[in-house]
Amino acid sequence: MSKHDRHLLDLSSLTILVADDNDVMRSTFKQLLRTYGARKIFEAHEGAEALQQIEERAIDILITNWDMRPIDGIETVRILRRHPVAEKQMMPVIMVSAHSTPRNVRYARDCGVNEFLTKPVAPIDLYLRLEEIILRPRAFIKCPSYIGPDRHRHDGRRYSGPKRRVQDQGKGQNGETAAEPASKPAKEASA
Amino acid sequence: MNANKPIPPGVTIIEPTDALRRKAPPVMNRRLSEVAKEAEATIQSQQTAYQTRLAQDIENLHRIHLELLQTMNAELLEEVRFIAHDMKGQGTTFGYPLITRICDTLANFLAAKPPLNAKTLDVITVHIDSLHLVVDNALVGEHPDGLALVENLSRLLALVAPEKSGDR
Repeated sequence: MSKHDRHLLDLSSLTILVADDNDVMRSTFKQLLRTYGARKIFEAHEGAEALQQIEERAIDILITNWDMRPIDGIETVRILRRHPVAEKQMMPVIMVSAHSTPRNVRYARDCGVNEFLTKPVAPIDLYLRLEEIILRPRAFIKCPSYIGPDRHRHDGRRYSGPKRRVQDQGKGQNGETAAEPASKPAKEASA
Repeated sequence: MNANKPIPPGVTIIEPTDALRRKAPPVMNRRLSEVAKEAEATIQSQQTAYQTRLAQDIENLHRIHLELLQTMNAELLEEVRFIAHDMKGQGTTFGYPLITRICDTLANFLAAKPPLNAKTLDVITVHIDSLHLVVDNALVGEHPDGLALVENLSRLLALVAPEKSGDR
């Protein structure tokens, strides 16, 4: 059985915005999204146009290239994460880039990107990133140093097994501890 | 996120909703494994558009290279890097991994902000010539001649590169 042998999600009701300054890549993404069943697809040539479209429409998911001019994908996400309207601020973003070193992926994540899609693009990977956003949405974190999806994919709340980590020593089964600090610096928060 | 930890002051956590999941329910008569094959075919259908774009990109590199020679305007080096980086991202997607590799070495070389001198211009020239070689001889896939070419480019860059910059 193929590892992808499961029902396709119906993407026809989702509104997806593709921002890429390269016409071939934009067209390819559009065609791929159509193949996967998406019907409401909008395009932008760069970040400023993408942000304008986001103002004008109810976009569900943004797929954006990193390197664009004048506003690149990272700057677009930074601006989006400070949007005054909550639905727009929390819009899931897939960053597409050939800047695929771990350092760059971490940087994109720290700017508030939900998913990273590496170029060269494997068609199935685009769908898998969409599926991840749709089926496994993460909490949204706002703190002075970060605004974006929870950068921890693992949801500790669902774990009910024994606590074996050093930092868990002295805690009960549910993690309660008498010596827990009242507060921690924001950067140590789960964000 | 761990619910057992207290939320630090100044931090707001908004729980995820299932809004997108409700908007995108499973399609009972379509399997991902089947549609994935169609998606591969979709990429193939973009080949002609890619090849046209590839020719335009190489032409643009030529034009900027000539302008560099005439004006010695160092800002144009960023133009070359920007195009090379863009080409790097597309090559392998459309069956030209050699384009990706050649543009990767060029983009990385320029990302390290080399001085605009004869050596740097030579590096750009040899990369543009290499791109031509790949396209003119239709060196698709991991062609052995192309791999030897890429290896030689890497050796050349090891001799002239100011310092390794990493990606970007």
